[in-house]
Amino acid sequence: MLASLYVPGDSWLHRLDARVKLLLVACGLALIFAVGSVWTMAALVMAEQALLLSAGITRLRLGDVWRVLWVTMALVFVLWVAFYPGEGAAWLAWWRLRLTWDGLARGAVVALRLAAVAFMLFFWLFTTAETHLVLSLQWLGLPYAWGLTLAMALRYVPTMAELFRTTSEAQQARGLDLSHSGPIARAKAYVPITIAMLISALRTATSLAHALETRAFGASLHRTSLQRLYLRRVDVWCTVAIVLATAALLYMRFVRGWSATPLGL
Amino acid sequence: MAELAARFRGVHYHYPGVPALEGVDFELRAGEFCALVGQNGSGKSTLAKHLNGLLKPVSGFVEVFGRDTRSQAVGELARKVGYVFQNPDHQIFSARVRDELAFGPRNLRLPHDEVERRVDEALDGFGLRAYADMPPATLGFGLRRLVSVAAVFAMRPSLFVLDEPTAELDWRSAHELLDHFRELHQQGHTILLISHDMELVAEYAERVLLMQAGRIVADAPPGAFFGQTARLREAHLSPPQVMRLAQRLGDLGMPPETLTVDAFADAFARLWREAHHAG
Ligand SMILES: Nc1ncnc2c1ncn2[C@@H]1O[C@H](COP(=O)(O)OP(=O)(O)OP(=O)(O)O)[C@@H](O)[C@H]1O
Ligand SMILES: [Mg+2]
Repeated sequence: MLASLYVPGDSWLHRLDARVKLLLVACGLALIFAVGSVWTMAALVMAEQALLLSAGITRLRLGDVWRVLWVTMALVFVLWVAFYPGEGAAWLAWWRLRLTWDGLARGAVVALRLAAVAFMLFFWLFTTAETHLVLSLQWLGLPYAWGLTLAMALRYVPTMAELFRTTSEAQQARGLDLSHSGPIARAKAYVPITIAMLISALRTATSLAHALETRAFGASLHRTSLQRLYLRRVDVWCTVAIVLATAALLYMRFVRGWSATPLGL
Repeated sequence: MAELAARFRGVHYHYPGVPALEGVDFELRAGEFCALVGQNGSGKSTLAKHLNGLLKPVSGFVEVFGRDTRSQAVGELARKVGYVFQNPDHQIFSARVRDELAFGPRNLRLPHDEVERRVDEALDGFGLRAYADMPPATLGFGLRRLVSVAAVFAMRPSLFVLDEPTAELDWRSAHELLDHFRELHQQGHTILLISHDMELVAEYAERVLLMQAGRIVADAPPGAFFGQTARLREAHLSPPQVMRLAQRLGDLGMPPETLTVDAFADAFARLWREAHHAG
Protein backbone atom coordinates (compact mmCIF):
# COMPACT_ATOMS: atom_id res chain seq x y z
CA MET A 1 0.00 0.00 0.00
CA LEU A 2 1.17 3.51 -0.76
CA ALA A 3 2.17 5.62 2.22
CA SER A 4 1.84 8.91 0.35
CA LEU A 5 1.51 10.34 -3.13
CA TYR A 6 5.05 11.74 -3.00
CA VAL A 7 7.66 9.62 -4.74
CA PRO A 8 11.05 10.40 -3.18
CA GLY A 9 13.77 11.04 -5.72
CA ASP A 10 16.45 13.38 -6.95
CA SER A 11 15.42 14.05 -10.54
CA TRP A 12 15.38 17.44 -12.25
CA LEU A 13 11.69 17.74 -11.43
CA HIS A 14 12.30 16.92 -7.77
CA ARG A 15 15.03 19.53 -7.54
CA LEU A 16 13.04 22.23 -9.27
CA ASP A 17 11.94 24.88 -6.76
CA ALA A 18 8.42 24.16 -5.47
CA ARG A 19 7.28 27.66 -6.49
CA VAL A 20 8.53 27.19 -10.05
CA LYS A 21 6.68 23.90 -10.14
CA LEU A 22 3.54 25.69 -9.00
CA LEU A 23 4.01 28.13 -11.87
CA LEU A 24 4.55 25.25 -14.28
CA VAL A 25 1.30 23.66 -13.12
CA ALA A 26 -0.60 26.95 -13.40
CA CYS A 27 0.70 27.58 -16.94
CA GLY A 28 0.09 23.96 -17.86
CA LEU A 29 -3.49 24.16 -16.70
CA ALA A 30 -4.04 27.40 -18.63
CA LEU A 31 -2.81 25.69 -21.80
CA ILE A 32 -4.87 22.57 -21.18
CA PHE A 33 -8.03 24.62 -20.95
CA ALA A 34 -7.09 26.86 -23.87
CA VAL A 35 -6.40 24.31 -26.56
CA GLY A 36 -9.33 22.57 -28.15
CA SER A 37 -7.86 20.14 -30.65
CA VAL A 38 -7.86 16.46 -29.96
CA TRP A 39 -4.39 16.11 -31.48
CA THR A 40 -2.83 18.80 -29.29
CA MET A 41 -4.55 17.41 -26.21
CA ALA A 42 -3.24 13.91 -26.94
CA ALA A 43 0.24 15.36 -27.49
CA LEU A 44 0.03 17.19 -24.16
CA VAL A 45 -0.90 13.99 -22.31
CA MET A 46 1.96 12.13 -24.03
CA ALA A 47 4.40 14.91 -23.14
CA GLU A 48 3.31 14.77 -19.50
CA GLN A 49 3.89 11.02 -19.41
CA ALA A 50 7.36 11.47 -20.90
CA LEU A 51 8.27 14.18 -18.39
CA LEU A 52 7.01 12.18 -15.40
CA LEU A 53 8.94 9.11 -16.61
CA SER A 54 12.05 11.25 -16.99
CA ALA A 55 11.59 12.36 -13.37
CA GLY A 56 11.82 8.77 -12.19
CA ILE A 57 8.11 8.15 -11.70
CA THR A 58 7.69 4.48 -12.56
CA ARG A 59 5.39 3.04 -15.21
CA LEU A 60 3.74 1.12 -12.38
CA ARG A 61 2.76 4.35 -10.64
CA LEU A 62 1.49 5.92 -13.88
CA GLY A 63 -0.45 2.72 -14.50
CA ASP A 64 -2.13 3.12 -11.10
CA VAL A 65 -3.28 6.59 -12.10
CA TRP A 66 -4.59 5.37 -15.44
CA ARG A 67 -6.49 2.54 -13.77
CA VAL A 68 -8.46 5.08 -11.75
CA LEU A 69 -8.75 7.57 -14.61
CA TRP A 70 -9.93 5.50 -17.51
CA VAL A 71 -13.34 4.70 -16.01
CA THR A 72 -14.15 8.36 -15.56
CA MET A 73 -12.69 9.20 -18.97
CA ALA A 74 -14.81 6.54 -20.65
CA LEU A 75 -17.92 7.76 -18.87
CA VAL A 76 -17.30 11.39 -19.81
CA PHE A 77 -16.63 10.40 -23.42
CA VAL A 78 -19.81 8.35 -23.71
CA LEU A 79 -22.00 11.00 -22.09
CA TRP A 80 -20.50 13.74 -24.23
CA VAL A 81 -20.98 11.83 -27.44
CA ALA A 82 -24.51 10.81 -26.46
CA PHE A 83 -25.71 14.30 -25.60
CA TYR A 84 -23.72 16.52 -27.92
CA PRO A 85 -24.15 15.59 -31.56
CA GLY A 86 -21.45 17.86 -32.97
CA GLU A 87 -21.37 19.58 -36.31
CA GLY A 88 -21.22 18.24 -39.83
CA ALA A 89 -22.78 15.22 -41.47
CA ALA A 90 -23.68 12.29 -39.23
CA TRP A 91 -22.23 9.00 -40.43
CA LEU A 92 -24.44 7.09 -38.04
CA ALA A 93 -27.93 8.08 -36.95
CA TRP A 94 -29.92 5.75 -34.79
CA TRP A 95 -32.91 6.70 -32.65
CA ARG A 96 -31.71 9.96 -31.03
CA LEU A 97 -28.05 9.21 -31.38
CA ARG A 98 -26.17 11.06 -34.13
CA LEU A 99 -22.49 10.33 -34.52
CA THR A 100 -20.29 12.88 -36.27
CA TRP A 101 -16.51 13.09 -36.39
CA ASP A 102 -16.76 16.49 -34.78
CA GLY A 103 -18.84 15.12 -31.87
CA LEU A 104 -16.48 12.19 -31.28
CA ALA A 105 -13.46 14.47 -31.32
CA ARG A 106 -15.09 16.84 -28.83
CA GLY A 107 -15.82 13.93 -26.51
CA ALA A 108 -12.23 12.80 -26.79
CA VAL A 109 -10.94 16.31 -26.06
CA VAL A 110 -12.95 16.49 -22.83
CA ALA A 111 -11.88 13.00 -21.72
CA LEU A 112 -8.22 13.67 -22.54
CA ARG A 113 -8.38 17.04 -20.82
CA LEU A 114 -9.33 15.20 -17.65
CA ALA A 115 -6.20 13.06 -17.91
CA ALA A 116 -4.07 16.09 -18.78
CA VAL A 117 -5.26 17.98 -15.69
CA ALA A 118 -4.74 14.95 -13.43
CA PHE A 119 -1.17 14.38 -14.60
CA MET A 120 -0.43 18.10 -14.41
CA LEU A 121 -1.38 18.05 -10.74
CA PHE A 122 0.72 14.93 -10.22
CA PHE A 123 3.75 16.84 -11.54
CA TRP A 124 3.48 18.78 -8.37
CA LEU A 125 2.19 16.10 -5.98
CA PHE A 126 4.44 13.21 -7.02
CA THR A 127 7.68 15.18 -6.93
CA THR A 128 7.30 17.74 -4.15
CA ALA A 129 8.02 16.82 -0.53
CA GLU A 130 5.28 17.76 1.91
CA THR A 131 7.32 20.46 3.62
CA HIS A 132 8.08 22.18 0.32
CA LEU A 133 4.46 21.91 -0.70
CA VAL A 134 3.39 23.76 2.43
CA LEU A 135 6.21 26.31 2.09
CA SER A 136 5.33 27.12 -1.51
CA LEU A 137 1.69 27.75 -0.58
CA GLN A 138 2.81 29.90 2.31
CA TRP A 139 4.97 31.88 -0.11
CA LEU A 140 1.83 32.57 -2.13
CA GLY A 141 0.47 34.24 0.98
CA LEU A 142 -1.79 31.48 2.26
CA PRO A 143 -1.81 30.94 6.05
CA TYR A 144 0.45 28.12 7.22
CA ALA A 145 -2.53 26.19 8.60
CA TRP A 146 -4.15 26.09 5.13
CA GLY A 147 -1.06 24.71 3.52
CA LEU A 148 -0.71 22.13 6.28
CA THR A 149 -4.37 21.17 5.92
CA LEU A 150 -3.92 20.57 2.22
CA ALA A 151 -0.74 18.58 2.80
CA MET A 152 -2.45 16.45 5.42
CA ALA A 153 -5.53 15.89 3.29
CA LEU A 154 -3.25 14.66 0.49
CA ARG A 155 -1.33 12.53 2.94
CA TYR A 156 -4.58 10.82 3.95
CA VAL A 157 -5.78 9.98 0.42
CA PRO A 158 -3.94 6.64 0.32
CA THR A 159 -4.87 5.94 3.95
CA MET A 160 -8.53 6.39 3.09
CA ALA A 161 -8.18 4.07 0.09
CA GLU A 162 -6.65 1.46 2.40
CA LEU A 163 -9.42 2.03 4.96
CA PHE A 164 -12.03 1.53 2.27
CA ARG A 165 -10.46 -1.79 1.29
CA THR A 166 -10.32 -3.09 4.85
CA THR A 167 -13.86 -2.02 5.75
CA SER A 168 -15.19 -3.57 2.60
CA GLU A 169 -13.38 -6.83 3.43
CA ALA A 170 -14.74 -6.74 6.99
CA GLN A 171 -18.34 -6.33 5.81
CA GLN A 172 -18.00 -8.96 3.09
CA ALA A 173 -16.72 -11.37 5.75
CA ARG A 174 -20.07 -10.83 7.45
CA GLY A 175 -21.89 -11.89 4.32
CA LEU A 176 -22.34 -8.51 2.60
CA ASP A 177 -22.88 -9.18 -1.09
CA LEU A 178 -21.37 -6.56 -3.39
CA SER A 179 -22.20 -8.34 -6.64
CA HIS A 180 -25.70 -6.88 -6.99
CA SER A 181 -26.84 -5.76 -10.38
CA GLY A 182 -28.81 -2.57 -10.65
CA PRO A 183 -27.52 0.76 -9.40
CA ILE A 184 -29.85 1.12 -6.39
CA ALA A 185 -29.17 -2.33 -4.91
CA ARG A 186 -25.48 -1.68 -5.47
CA ALA A 187 -25.53 1.70 -3.79
CA LYS A 188 -27.40 0.22 -0.84
CA ALA A 189 -24.80 -2.51 -0.46
CA TYR A 190 -22.15 0.16 0.02
CA VAL A 191 -23.95 1.81 2.95
CA PRO A 192 -22.44 -0.42 5.69
CA ILE A 193 -18.96 0.18 4.25
CA THR A 194 -19.37 3.94 3.90
CA ILE A 195 -20.73 4.44 7.42
CA ALA A 196 -18.08 2.27 9.09
CA MET A 197 -15.48 4.19 7.11
CA LEU A 198 -16.86 7.56 8.10
CA ILE A 199 -16.86 6.65 11.79
CA SER A 200 -13.26 5.45 11.55
CA ALA A 201 -12.27 8.57 9.63
CA LEU A 202 -13.83 10.85 12.24
CA ARG A 203 -12.03 8.94 14.97
CA THR A 204 -8.74 9.41 13.11
CA ALA A 205 -9.44 13.10 12.53
CA THR A 206 -10.16 13.68 16.22
CA SER A 207 -7.01 11.97 17.40
CA LEU A 208 -4.99 13.77 14.73
CA ALA A 209 -6.32 17.11 15.95
CA HIS A 210 -5.47 16.16 19.53
CA ALA A 211 -2.01 15.06 18.49
CA LEU A 212 -1.42 18.43 16.79
CA GLU A 213 -2.66 20.37 19.78
CA THR A 214 -0.65 18.42 22.32
CA ARG A 215 2.38 19.38 20.26
CA ALA A 216 1.39 23.03 20.63
CA PHE A 217 0.24 23.58 17.07
CA GLY A 218 -1.06 27.12 16.70
CA ALA A 219 0.58 28.30 19.91
CA SER A 220 2.86 30.77 18.15
CA LEU A 221 1.60 32.87 15.29
CA HIS A 222 4.96 33.63 13.73
CA ARG A 223 6.50 30.41 12.65
CA THR A 224 10.06 30.06 11.58
CA SER A 225 11.01 27.22 9.32
CA LEU A 226 13.98 24.89 9.39
CA GLN A 227 13.76 24.32 5.67
CA ARG A 228 13.81 27.09 3.12
CA LEU A 229 13.03 27.30 -0.54
CA TYR A 230 16.04 28.42 -2.60
CA LEU A 231 15.79 29.77 -6.09
CA ARG A 232 18.83 28.50 -8.00
CA ARG A 233 20.02 29.91 -11.32
CA VAL A 234 18.42 27.03 -13.19
CA ASP A 235 15.10 27.72 -11.43
CA VAL A 236 15.20 31.28 -12.73
CA TRP A 237 15.89 30.07 -16.28
CA CYS A 238 13.07 27.56 -16.00
CA THR A 239 10.69 30.30 -14.88
CA VAL A 240 11.64 32.42 -17.88
CA ALA A 241 11.26 29.46 -20.22
CA ILE A 242 7.89 28.47 -18.79
CA VAL A 243 6.50 32.00 -19.07
CA LEU A 244 7.81 32.51 -22.62
CA ALA A 245 6.60 29.13 -23.85
CA THR A 246 3.16 29.63 -22.37
CA ALA A 247 2.89 33.15 -23.78
CA ALA A 248 3.93 31.90 -27.22
CA LEU A 249 1.47 29.02 -27.19
CA LEU A 250 -1.38 31.19 -25.95
CA TYR A 251 -0.57 33.74 -28.69
CA MET A 252 -0.67 30.95 -31.29
CA ARG A 253 -3.96 29.72 -29.90
CA PHE A 254 -5.85 32.99 -29.55
CA VAL A 255 -4.32 35.19 -32.24
CA ARG A 256 -3.34 32.65 -34.88
CA GLY A 257 -6.20 30.20 -34.22
CA TRP A 258 -3.92 27.24 -33.68
CA SER A 259 -5.55 24.18 -32.19
CA ALA A 260 -8.93 25.85 -31.88
CA THR A 261 -11.27 23.26 -33.35
CA PRO A 262 -11.65 19.63 -32.22
CA LEU A 263 -10.21 18.19 -35.42
CA GLY A 264 -7.97 21.09 -36.46
CA LEU A 265 -4.24 21.29 -35.97
CA MET B 1 -12.29 -38.28 13.54
CA ALA B 2 -10.43 -37.01 10.54
CA GLU B 3 -12.76 -34.30 9.31
CA LEU B 4 -10.80 -31.32 8.08
CA ALA B 5 -11.83 -27.72 8.66
CA ALA B 6 -9.24 -26.49 6.17
CA ARG B 7 -6.53 -27.81 3.91
CA PHE B 8 -3.77 -25.71 2.32
CA ARG B 9 -1.69 -27.23 -0.46
CA GLY B 10 1.27 -25.40 -1.99
CA VAL B 11 -0.43 -22.04 -1.50
CA HIS B 12 1.33 -19.05 -3.01
CA TYR B 13 0.03 -15.51 -2.85
CA HIS B 14 1.53 -12.16 -3.69
CA TYR B 15 0.28 -8.59 -3.46
CA PRO B 16 1.38 -6.34 -6.34
CA GLY B 17 5.16 -6.61 -6.10
CA VAL B 18 5.17 -8.18 -2.61
CA PRO B 19 5.33 -11.95 -2.13
CA ALA B 20 3.29 -12.84 0.98
CA LEU B 21 2.75 -16.61 0.95
CA GLU B 22 5.44 -18.82 -0.52
CA GLY B 23 4.20 -22.38 -0.38
CA VAL B 24 1.93 -22.98 2.60
CA ASP B 25 0.96 -26.57 3.40
CA PHE B 26 -1.07 -27.48 6.44
CA GLU B 27 -4.28 -28.99 7.66
CA LEU B 28 -6.61 -27.61 10.26
CA ARG B 29 -8.58 -30.45 11.83
CA ALA B 30 -12.19 -29.79 12.77
CA GLY B 31 -12.50 -29.03 16.48
CA GLU B 32 -8.92 -27.78 16.93
CA PHE B 33 -7.87 -24.67 18.86
CA CYS B 34 -4.86 -23.63 16.84
CA ALA B 35 -2.65 -20.56 17.22
CA LEU B 36 -0.76 -18.86 14.39
CA VAL B 37 2.24 -16.80 15.43
CA GLY B 38 5.09 -15.02 13.67
CA GLN B 39 6.70 -11.63 13.21
CA ASN B 40 4.94 -8.62 11.68
CA GLY B 41 4.69 -9.12 7.96
CA SER B 42 5.30 -12.87 8.04
CA GLY B 43 1.97 -13.48 6.26
CA LYS B 44 -0.43 -14.48 9.05
CA SER B 45 -3.30 -12.21 8.02
CA THR B 46 -2.77 -13.11 4.39
CA LEU B 47 -3.07 -16.80 5.26
CA ALA B 48 -6.16 -16.12 7.38
CA LYS B 49 -7.92 -14.24 4.57
CA HIS B 50 -7.59 -17.36 2.41
CA LEU B 51 -9.88 -19.16 4.85
CA ASN B 52 -12.94 -17.04 4.07
CA GLY B 53 -12.10 -16.47 0.43
CA LEU B 54 -11.21 -12.77 0.72
CA LEU B 55 -8.00 -13.83 -0.99
CA LYS B 56 -7.68 -16.70 -3.44
CA PRO B 57 -4.36 -18.49 -3.98
CA VAL B 58 -2.28 -17.55 -7.00
CA SER B 59 -1.15 -21.17 -7.16
CA GLY B 60 -1.95 -24.21 -5.07
CA PHE B 61 -5.38 -24.53 -3.44
CA VAL B 62 -7.30 -24.01 -0.23
CA GLU B 63 -10.17 -26.25 0.79
CA VAL B 64 -12.55 -25.23 3.57
CA PHE B 65 -14.73 -28.05 4.91
CA GLY B 66 -13.85 -30.05 1.83
CA ARG B 67 -14.65 -27.42 -0.83
CA ASP B 68 -12.20 -25.41 -2.87
CA THR B 69 -12.51 -21.72 -1.95
CA ARG B 70 -12.12 -20.67 -5.58
CA SER B 71 -15.58 -22.05 -6.33
CA GLN B 72 -17.24 -20.08 -3.51
CA ALA B 73 -18.09 -16.43 -2.93
CA VAL B 74 -17.03 -14.69 0.28
CA GLY B 75 -20.70 -14.38 1.24
CA GLU B 76 -21.15 -18.13 0.91
CA LEU B 77 -18.07 -18.92 2.97
CA ALA B 78 -19.30 -16.52 5.65
CA ARG B 79 -21.83 -19.18 6.68
CA LYS B 80 -19.04 -21.48 7.77
CA VAL B 81 -16.14 -19.17 8.51
CA GLY B 82 -16.42 -16.30 10.96
CA TYR B 83 -13.60 -13.76 10.66
CA VAL B 84 -12.90 -11.37 13.50
CA PHE B 85 -10.88 -8.44 12.18
CA GLN B 86 -8.09 -6.87 14.17
CA ASN B 87 -9.83 -3.50 14.42
CA PRO B 88 -13.52 -3.59 15.45
CA ASP B 89 -14.02 -0.12 13.95
CA HIS B 90 -13.65 -1.56 10.47
CA GLN B 91 -17.07 -3.14 10.72
CA ILE B 92 -19.18 -1.15 13.19
CA PHE B 93 -21.78 0.95 11.36
CA SER B 94 -25.22 0.43 12.90
CA ALA B 95 -27.20 2.84 15.06
CA ARG B 96 -27.85 0.19 17.72
CA VAL B 97 -25.82 -2.75 19.00
CA ARG B 98 -28.83 -4.97 18.28
CA ASP B 99 -28.80 -4.02 14.58
CA GLU B 100 -25.07 -4.51 14.37
CA LEU B 101 -25.50 -8.09 15.57
CA ALA B 102 -28.40 -8.69 13.18
CA PHE B 103 -26.45 -7.57 10.09
CA GLY B 104 -24.67 -10.90 9.51
CA PRO B 105 -27.66 -13.19 10.10
CA ARG B 106 -29.78 -10.97 7.80
CA ASN B 107 -27.16 -11.28 5.10
CA LEU B 108 -27.54 -15.04 5.43
CA ARG B 109 -31.24 -14.46 4.62
CA LEU B 110 -32.46 -16.15 7.79
CA PRO B 111 -36.13 -15.74 8.73
CA HIS B 112 -36.95 -12.82 11.00
CA ASP B 113 -37.54 -14.76 14.23
CA GLU B 114 -34.35 -16.78 13.76
CA VAL B 115 -32.40 -13.50 13.39
CA GLU B 116 -34.02 -12.24 16.62
CA ARG B 117 -33.19 -15.47 18.44
CA ARG B 118 -29.55 -15.29 17.41
CA VAL B 119 -29.23 -11.64 18.33
CA ASP B 120 -30.66 -12.34 21.80
CA GLU B 121 -28.33 -15.28 22.25
CA ALA B 122 -25.30 -13.19 21.23
CA LEU B 123 -26.34 -10.30 23.49
CA ASP B 124 -26.56 -12.63 26.49
CA GLY B 125 -23.54 -14.71 25.56
CA PHE B 126 -21.24 -11.68 25.49
CA GLY B 127 -22.87 -9.70 28.29
CA LEU B 128 -24.11 -6.96 25.96
CA ARG B 129 -27.77 -6.96 26.98
CA ALA B 130 -27.44 -3.64 28.81
CA TYR B 131 -26.07 -1.98 25.67
CA ALA B 132 -28.51 -3.47 23.17
CA ASP B 133 -30.09 -0.17 22.17
CA MET B 134 -27.00 2.00 22.35
CA PRO B 135 -25.01 3.15 19.32
CA PRO B 136 -21.99 0.81 19.21
CA ALA B 137 -19.62 3.48 17.88
CA THR B 138 -19.85 5.41 21.14
CA LEU B 139 -18.93 2.45 23.38
CA GLY B 140 -15.45 2.01 24.81
CA PHE B 141 -12.86 -0.04 22.95
CA GLY B 142 -13.34 -3.22 25.00
CA LEU B 143 -17.07 -3.18 24.39
CA ARG B 144 -16.66 -2.40 20.67
CA ARG B 145 -14.39 -5.42 20.49
CA LEU B 146 -17.10 -7.56 22.13
CA VAL B 147 -19.75 -6.20 19.76
CA SER B 148 -17.65 -7.10 16.73
CA VAL B 149 -17.05 -10.61 18.09
CA ALA B 150 -20.71 -11.12 19.04
CA ALA B 151 -21.68 -9.99 15.53
CA VAL B 152 -19.60 -12.80 14.07
CA PHE B 153 -20.85 -15.25 16.70
CA ALA B 154 -24.46 -14.51 15.69
CA MET B 155 -23.72 -16.00 12.27
CA ARG B 156 -22.91 -19.35 13.93
CA PRO B 157 -19.89 -20.29 11.88
CA SER B 158 -18.13 -23.60 12.57
CA LEU B 159 -14.68 -22.09 12.12
CA PHE B 160 -13.62 -18.88 13.84
CA VAL B 161 -10.63 -16.99 12.49
CA LEU B 162 -9.43 -14.43 15.03
CA ASP B 163 -6.88 -11.90 13.76
CA GLU B 164 -5.19 -10.48 16.86
CA PRO B 165 -8.49 -10.17 18.74
CA THR B 166 -6.81 -9.21 22.01
CA ALA B 167 -4.64 -6.41 20.66
CA GLU B 168 -5.23 -3.27 22.76
CA LEU B 169 -7.32 -5.18 25.33
CA ASP B 170 -6.33 -5.23 28.99
CA TRP B 171 -5.36 -8.51 30.68
CA ARG B 172 -8.80 -9.23 32.06
CA SER B 173 -10.76 -8.41 28.89
CA ALA B 174 -8.34 -10.48 26.83
CA HIS B 175 -8.89 -13.48 29.07
CA GLU B 176 -12.64 -13.02 29.14
CA LEU B 177 -12.72 -12.86 25.36
CA LEU B 178 -10.62 -15.98 24.90
CA ASP B 179 -12.63 -17.80 27.57
CA HIS B 180 -15.65 -17.38 25.28
CA PHE B 181 -13.71 -19.05 22.51
CA ARG B 182 -12.47 -21.82 24.80
CA GLU B 183 -16.12 -22.55 25.53
CA LEU B 184 -16.99 -22.53 21.83
CA HIS B 185 -14.05 -24.85 21.25
CA GLN B 186 -15.38 -27.24 23.88
CA GLN B 187 -18.70 -27.21 22.03
CA GLY B 188 -16.86 -28.44 18.94
CA HIS B 189 -16.00 -25.25 17.04
CA THR B 190 -12.68 -24.89 15.28
CA ILE B 191 -10.59 -21.85 16.26
CA LEU B 192 -7.61 -20.27 14.53
CA LEU B 193 -6.11 -17.57 16.74
CA ILE B 194 -3.51 -15.12 15.42
CA SER B 195 -1.63 -13.49 18.28
CA HIS B 196 1.63 -11.90 19.33
CA ASP B 197 0.95 -12.73 22.99
CA MET B 198 2.80 -15.94 23.80
CA GLU B 199 1.28 -16.15 27.29
CA LEU B 200 -2.20 -16.33 25.79
CA VAL B 201 -1.08 -18.75 23.08
CA ALA B 202 0.44 -21.08 25.69
CA GLU B 203 -2.65 -20.89 27.81
CA TYR B 204 -5.37 -21.41 25.20
CA ALA B 205 -4.04 -23.16 22.12
CA GLU B 206 -3.56 -26.90 21.68
CA ARG B 207 -1.43 -26.48 18.59
CA VAL B 208 0.90 -23.69 17.48
CA LEU B 209 1.94 -22.83 13.92
CA LEU B 210 4.89 -20.53 13.34
CA MET B 211 5.10 -18.44 10.17
CA GLN B 212 8.25 -16.95 8.81
CA ALA B 213 8.59 -15.17 5.46
CA GLY B 214 5.42 -16.65 4.01
CA ARG B 215 5.98 -20.25 5.12
CA ILE B 216 4.94 -22.38 8.07
CA VAL B 217 8.22 -23.37 9.71
CA ALA B 218 7.03 -25.02 12.91
CA ASP B 219 3.91 -26.91 13.90
CA ALA B 220 3.64 -28.48 17.36
CA PRO B 221 1.64 -28.56 20.60
CA PRO B 222 2.57 -25.56 22.78
CA GLY B 223 4.72 -27.57 25.18
CA ALA B 224 6.96 -28.90 22.44
CA PHE B 225 6.69 -25.69 20.42
CA PHE B 226 8.12 -23.44 23.11
CA GLY B 227 10.84 -26.01 23.76
CA GLN B 228 12.42 -25.28 20.36
CA THR B 229 14.66 -22.57 21.73
CA ALA B 230 16.86 -22.08 18.67
CA ARG B 231 13.96 -21.88 16.26
CA LEU B 232 12.10 -19.42 18.47
CA ARG B 233 15.14 -17.19 18.76
CA GLU B 234 15.48 -17.20 14.99
CA ALA B 235 11.88 -15.96 14.75
CA HIS B 236 12.48 -13.38 17.50
CA LEU B 237 9.99 -15.05 19.81
CA SER B 238 10.43 -16.16 23.37
CA PRO B 239 8.42 -18.64 25.43
CA PRO B 240 6.08 -17.36 28.18
CA GLN B 241 8.05 -16.18 31.21
CA VAL B 242 6.72 -18.91 33.45
CA MET B 243 7.99 -21.47 30.96
CA ARG B 244 11.42 -19.87 30.84
CA LEU B 245 11.49 -20.06 34.60
CA ALA B 246 10.53 -23.74 34.44
CA GLN B 247 13.24 -24.39 31.85
CA ARG B 248 15.81 -22.76 34.16
CA LEU B 249 14.68 -24.94 37.04
CA GLY B 250 14.83 -28.07 34.90
CA ASP B 251 17.71 -29.65 36.85
CA LEU B 252 15.71 -29.36 40.06
CA GLY B 253 13.08 -31.59 38.50
CA MET B 254 10.69 -28.94 37.17
CA PRO B 255 9.07 -30.25 33.94
CA PRO B 256 10.35 -27.94 31.14
CA GLU B 257 6.97 -27.97 29.40
CA THR B 258 5.22 -26.10 32.18
CA LEU B 259 3.08 -23.57 30.29
CA THR B 260 0.94 -21.74 32.79
CA VAL B 261 1.27 -20.25 36.23
CA ASP B 262 -1.21 -22.80 37.59
CA ALA B 263 0.77 -25.71 36.18
CA PHE B 264 3.94 -24.20 37.58
CA ALA B 265 2.41 -23.84 41.05
CA ASP B 266 1.22 -27.45 41.01
CA ALA B 267 4.60 -28.78 39.91
CA PHE B 268 6.39 -26.56 42.40
CA ALA B 269 4.17 -27.73 45.29
CA ARG B 270 4.81 -31.35 44.34
CA LEU B 271 8.60 -30.82 44.19
CA TRP B 272 8.53 -28.96 47.51
CA ARG B 273 6.60 -31.74 49.23
CA GLU B 274 8.92 -34.41 47.78
CA ALA B 275 11.98 -32.50 48.98
CA HIS B 276 10.40 -32.06 52.40
CA HIS B 277 9.68 -35.76 52.76
CA ALA B 278 13.14 -36.71 51.59
CA GLY B 279 14.90 -34.13 53.77
N1 LIG C 1 -2.96 -4.93 0.85
C1 LIG C 1 -1.65 -5.15 0.74
N2 LIG C 1 -0.95 -4.67 -0.32
C2 LIG C 1 0.37 -4.89 -0.46
N3 LIG C 1 1.11 -5.59 0.40
C3 LIG C 1 0.50 -6.09 1.48
C4 LIG C 1 -0.90 -5.90 1.72
N4 LIG C 1 -1.23 -6.52 2.87
C5 LIG C 1 -0.09 -7.07 3.33
N5 LIG C 1 0.95 -6.82 2.50
C6 LIG C 1 2.34 -7.29 2.68
O1 LIG C 1 2.33 -8.71 2.70
C7 LIG C 1 3.18 -9.22 3.69
C8 LIG C 1 2.43 -10.08 4.68
O2 LIG C 1 1.47 -9.29 5.34
P1 LIG C 1 0.47 -9.84 6.44
O3 LIG C 1 -0.48 -8.73 6.74
O4 LIG C 1 -0.11 -11.13 6.01
O5 LIG C 1 1.44 -10.07 7.69
P2 LIG C 1 1.08 -10.41 9.19
O6 LIG C 1 1.87 -11.63 9.55
O7 LIG C 1 -0.40 -10.48 9.38
O8 LIG C 1 1.68 -9.16 9.98
P3 LIG C 1 1.13 -8.42 11.30
O9 LIG C 1 1.64 -9.22 12.46
O10 LIG C 1 1.79 -7.09 11.23
O11 LIG C 1 -0.35 -8.35 11.23
C9 LIG C 1 3.83 -8.00 4.34
O12 LIG C 1 5.09 -7.82 3.73
C10 LIG C 1 2.90 -6.87 4.01
O13 LIG C 1 3.61 -5.67 3.91
MG1 LIG D 1 -1.84 -9.22 10.40
